[in-house]
Order: sequence, then structure tokens, then C-alpha cells
Amino acid sequence: MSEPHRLEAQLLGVMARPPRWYLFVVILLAGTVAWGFYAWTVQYRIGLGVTGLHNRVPWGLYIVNFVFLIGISHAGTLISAILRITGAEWRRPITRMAEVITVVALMTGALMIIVDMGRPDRVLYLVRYGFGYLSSPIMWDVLSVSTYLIGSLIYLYIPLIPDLAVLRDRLDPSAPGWQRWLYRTLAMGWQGTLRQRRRLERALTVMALVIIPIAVSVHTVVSFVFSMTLRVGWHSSIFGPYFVVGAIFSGIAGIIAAMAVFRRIYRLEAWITEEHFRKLGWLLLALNLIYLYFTFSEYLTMGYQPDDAEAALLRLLFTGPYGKLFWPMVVGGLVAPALLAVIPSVPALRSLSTVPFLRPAPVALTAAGLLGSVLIVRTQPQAATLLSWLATWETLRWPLLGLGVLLALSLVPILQARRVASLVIASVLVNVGMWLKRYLVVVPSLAVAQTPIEAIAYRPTWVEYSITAGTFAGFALLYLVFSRLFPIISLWEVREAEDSAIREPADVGTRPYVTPAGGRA
Amino acid sequence: MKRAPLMVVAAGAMALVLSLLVLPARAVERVRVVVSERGFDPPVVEVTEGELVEITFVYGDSHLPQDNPHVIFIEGLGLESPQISRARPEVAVRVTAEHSGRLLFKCTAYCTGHDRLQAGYLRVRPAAATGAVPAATTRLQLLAAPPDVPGAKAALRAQLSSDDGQPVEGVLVRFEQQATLVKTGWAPIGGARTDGRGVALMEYAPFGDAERVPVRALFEGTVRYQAAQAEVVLELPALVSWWAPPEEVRVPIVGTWLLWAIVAAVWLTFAYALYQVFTLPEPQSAVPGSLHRRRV
Repeated sequence: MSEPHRLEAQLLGVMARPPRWYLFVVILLAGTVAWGFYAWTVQYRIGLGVTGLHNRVPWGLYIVNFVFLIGISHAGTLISAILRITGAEWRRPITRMAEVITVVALMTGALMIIVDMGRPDRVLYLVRYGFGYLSSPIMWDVLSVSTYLIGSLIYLYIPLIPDLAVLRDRLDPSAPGWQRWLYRTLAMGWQGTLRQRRRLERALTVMALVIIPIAVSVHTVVSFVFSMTLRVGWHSSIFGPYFVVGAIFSGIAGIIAAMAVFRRIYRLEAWITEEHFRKLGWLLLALNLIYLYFTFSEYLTMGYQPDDAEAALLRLLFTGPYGKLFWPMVVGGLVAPALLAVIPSVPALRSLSTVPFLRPAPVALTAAGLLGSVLIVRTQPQAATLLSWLATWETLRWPLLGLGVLLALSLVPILQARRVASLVIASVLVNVGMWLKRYLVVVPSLAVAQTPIEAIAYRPTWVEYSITAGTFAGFALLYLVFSRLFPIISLWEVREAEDSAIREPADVGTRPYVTPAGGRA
Repeated sequence: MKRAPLMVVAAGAMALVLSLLVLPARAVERVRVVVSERGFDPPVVEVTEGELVEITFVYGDSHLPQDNPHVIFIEGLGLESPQISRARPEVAVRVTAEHSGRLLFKCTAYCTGHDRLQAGYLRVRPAAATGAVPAATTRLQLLAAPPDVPGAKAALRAQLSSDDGQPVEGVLVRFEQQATLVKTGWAPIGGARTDGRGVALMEYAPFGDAERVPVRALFEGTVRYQAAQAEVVLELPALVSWWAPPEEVRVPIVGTWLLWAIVAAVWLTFAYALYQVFTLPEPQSAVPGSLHRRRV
């Protein structure tokens, strides 16, 4: 048996002896999943009446989660398939993480549709009756999502085979029998011969080529479910590309967050370098700007000469009850991430640390003091005597906003020096923002009154919140369990790149991304 | 002879007075519910199964500086009240709860205190507990006005009365159309509650290709009234070619086959990739050139 590679030794070591917090996190996530399952049993027993859904707003959190998770699933396609075909060597250490995101997101996302149906047995109706009605966009959705899920599973499995052989050969003798059987069976007798490598490459290339159009079709078709409907805010020709760009955008953000987590907890700084974050950061910024452009174009077109329903929708979004979600989505989910992606590449911003009133601590303390006094006055009426006018929200709104801007500016020099932190914050903001965006696509359009007298509200209930929490916990749990059973970094691809870098010393472009820090360079 | 018209009028008036005295007027239970940002007062309203009840929702937010309109929806009865606001502080809905049990009513408007207005209950007592009278027979008449042009709406009018000729108010009449979807049967098209004249009205666009469409109205009955149904045939105007539904907006047959062909091609590609995987095992195990060997 050959000498284990350093990455192999490290990853297999972590898999064999996971950190102490692993079990705690698994139990926490499993508990949340169990709670979500209990909520679902309540919904199954009593019916969809336990949710906030009703005859006016029949789509709510479940469909929002579905669209969001299907969007996240585009991470694998972009990072793995597109970058593989275009020969971007730096992708190698992060492809596996992206592919797993795709599979797990599709599994949990597709589950949301079954939850939304209320009666899971009605899935059979799609098979029994649905395939006769291919003119329905819902059936296009069923076809493309199921095809994408199967394709992604195959696309995850094929590059895993050489690593499964490593696990088979290097498995600790004390490992349980089922684990031994699992690796032996899935490794398909891999020995790394020339013939086997050719076949593997052939299968990978074919899958990489076919998975890209499928991924594009999936989110296009998801958008068709909305845009083929004569409903205000949905019936838009821009929805196909708008959804696809949004999906890739949130997918990149998802992979950046996953990279940061695994880099930290598995100590993978030598393989997942700052350079990976830098390249993904630029991709994130590019998609961010395209998405901003689409968003601007969408609302400008709708708002320039709106009919009654469009005007009502825009009022709901801009100044109505959904404004408190819309503006945070625009500012926090689109503008702030773009700035955070740029900040680490502008060294001149460090000079902000020399500005006296831009010290983070005093600014934060002042803001906290003002905010605290507002809270005291609002919650303790007896304290509202002298301060009642001075410390009201209306009086302090603008000073607090100004302090918020100052606080953000004071953090700029800190983030400028920390690219990874800056991009991770941007990624989290993007994903929260994209979830909000999906909520703002689904719910407000349904909440626009169809008759002059009705007023429609949708408030999710504890059942929907619990199932949502269970779904996202399930996502994290599956991801964590996968990382415990299989290498989260593609060992053979990293080694292959190292070998080719050694054979071709002039090709410096591939080396920095695969060479451990302090190793051969 | 000159007195004859006067006699007829007098006799008519007398008959009317007598009928009002002799015929038992249907009792109406009346309840009032104050709707305010603090919730419903009372939060639970008790009514009797099968009895006509008039629920008056009263606006209770006059103390607020701004108007706080509410719309109350009674689940299970599918009934929504008109908007209650400062301009219209009281609205009454008349309804018959057909079955005993508990029905939720809640506010569906954006309002202050919305969360506290999500759990009002209509507790419907079983009629047996209050000593109900035997159910009276009913008569249902259905009139259907067909649409003038294909695709337009037909008007359905069902009138429900008891055997003594009194209108039955506040009960649900369901309408169904005979249609062939997967198989031929009665497809529900909606329902409406009877008003003070016992009339339930509904408009709907008939579906399907048939020119003669059977439509029926159904009253399921309550503890006080027996079930009834009536059926008519709608004569629809003949379809002419330029009124045909716009088939071109749907995927045509060729498109469907194309779609299937694309899906089949993708799945065949998956099969090809899996074939490559399943033919990976080598006949012999130790083979030179293993990826696991360090080639450095």
C-alpha cells in the first residue's frame, strides 16, 4: 500500500475521530428534524388548515423553501461541471462540497413540494394522471427536478469512486462491517488502472456536459410555474433568466459558506486557500451585479406604467407591509454583499482606520446606548418622563441610522484585511436575502386583492416555521453525515493536480491551489 | 260591484295577517361579537346545529387614533363578512351551521391586533341536546340562464323552501356540472348560501365541449330540513371555429413528443455514464499505474 497523502491522512483522521462537538451538533440537528417531523404529523393529521395558507394565499413558506433550495442546488453545477469543462484547475479542492450541496438541497427541496401538497399520497397522482398532461408547467417541474436529482447523484458518485477505493484500502480494521461493505461495494473494484481512469473520465465528461443544461432547465422551469400564471408580479418574460441567475448567485454564496465552515473545523487551510475565496468572491460579485440589474429592470418595467394590480403590488412591496422585508433584501442581500466582495480588494480603504471618529468600539457603544435608551423608554413607561421626547424612535431614527453607517464604515478597515471573513458575511447575507427575495416573489403577488373589498394576509404558523427549521436542519445534518462517511475534498483530484504540477513545473498556475502551505512550492 | 276590488284587497290583507299568525316564523338566534385589537369579545359563540343564526360583528376599535378595519372569515362555512370599519361599525351575517362541532373564525385583514384575532370559535351544539323538531321536507327549484356566447358565464339560481312554502335561509346549496374528465361524473363547481328569500345564486363558466350540460343543485339537509336536489340542462351556444379555445398556447402534440425525446436522451446519457461505472471492475486486482501510488 502506498504512503498516504497528507490530505488523505488528515481527512481520514477527522472522519475516524470527529471533533467532540460533532455528536452534539448531530443530536441538535436531529432533534430539530424530529420536531419538524412532529409538526408535519400534526399537519398530516389535521390538514393544511393548521398552516397560515388559505384560499387566497395557497403558497407560502413551503414553496419559498422549495425555490430557495433548488436555487442553492446550482452550486454543484457551477463549481463542478462548468469549471471542470472550462479547465479551471483551482476548482479541485471544492468540487465535492459543491456537488454534495446540490444533492442535499435537491432532496430537501423536493420534499417541500410533498409537504405543501398536504396529502403525500397525492404524489402518485402526478404519475398516474400527470404524465398525460405535459402541457402543464408543473409536470415540466416534476420531470426536470427528478432528472436533475438523479443526474446529480450520479455526478456526485462518479468522482467519488477513487476516493471510495482509498477508504476501502485504508479503513481502520476496527471499523464496523457495514462500513467496510459500503466502501467495497461502491468502489466498484477501483484499482486506478489506465482503463479505469479512461472510463471514469469519459463518464465524468459526459455527465458534466449534460448536467449543465439540466440545471439551467430546472430553475427556468421553476420560474415557469410562476410566469405561466396570469398573476401580477409573476407573468413576466424575464423570470427564466432572473431565476437562473439568482440560483447560481445563491449557490455560490452557499459554497463559500460551506467552504469556510469545513476549512475551519477540519483545519483545511492548506487546501482551501484564500485564493479560492478570492476567485469565488469575484464570481459572487459578477452574479450579484447581474441580479441587481435584473431586479432593477423587473421593477422599473412594472412600475413605469403600472396597471391597478401592479401598482397595488408595488405599494405592498415598497411602502406596505412587505417593505420591511423588501428593503432589507435590497440593501442587506444585494448591495451590502457587493460592497463586501469588493472591500478586500481595495487597499486604500485601510486608511479609514486613521479617521478618529471611525473607531468601531466608540461608535458601537454610542449606537448601543441610544438604542438601549429607546428600548428602556418603550418597555418601561415609568422611565419615560424627561427622556420621553428625546429618546423616542421617531427622534432618534436618523441619528441611529447615521451611527449605523458610521459603524459599517468603521468595520471596513477590519474587513479589508480579512477577505475570508468579508466574503463569508457577504455569503450569509446573500442567502438570507435570496430567501427573502423568494418569499417576496411568492407571497405578495398572492396577497394582491383580486376584488375591491378583500384584504389578504398570510402569517405562517408554528407548524410551517417548525417544518422549515426541520428542513434546514435536515440539510445541515445530511451534509454533516456525508462529511463523516466520505471525504469532503476530492482526494484523487487534488493529488492528480499535484502530480501534474510536479510534472510540469512551468505551469505555475495550477500549483498554488493544490500545494499545502509550507509544502512543496 | 264597485266594492269588489276593495273586498279583494281586504281579503288579501286578512289572509296575510292570518298567515303571519298561523305559520310559525323561523326563529333566528342573534349574537353579537365585538371585534377589536384586543381580540374577539366573546371569543366563543354558542349556536345550535341547524338553526339560523345572525352574527353581528361590531367594530370595537373606536379608541384607536386610526381606523382599523377587519374582515371576518368563518372557516368551515366558507363565509366572509363585509369589512367592518369606522365607516361601517356593524355588519351582520346570517348563516346556518349544518353540523355540530367547532368552527374557527378569524380576521383576514391587515390590522392592528391581527394575531389576537385568529382564534374566535363558533361552538355548534348538537340539535338533539336542545330537543329538535322532526326535519321538514323541502323543495328545491333550479333555474339556469345559459351564456349568450361561448366561454361566457351562466347564471344559476336555486330557491329552497320548506313544504309550508317558507324560504329556507342561510344554508349551503352546492352546484355541480356533469363533466367528463378522467371519467364521466358530477364535478363540483361551487356553492352559495341562501338569502332571506331562500335563493342561492352563482355564476360560472361551463366547461367541456358538450352543448347540453346537465347541472344540478344539492341541499344536503340539516336537522331541521330534509335534503333536496334539482337538476336542469344548460343549452350552450354552439361553438364556432373562431371561438375555439386557444390551443396554440399549449404545448402541441409534436412538442410533447419532443419533450419526451429530450428527457429520454438525457436519461440514456445517464445510463451511458452508469454503464461506464459498472464496467469499471478489472478481472485482476493488482494492476500497475494505480492512482493510489505516489508517482513522485
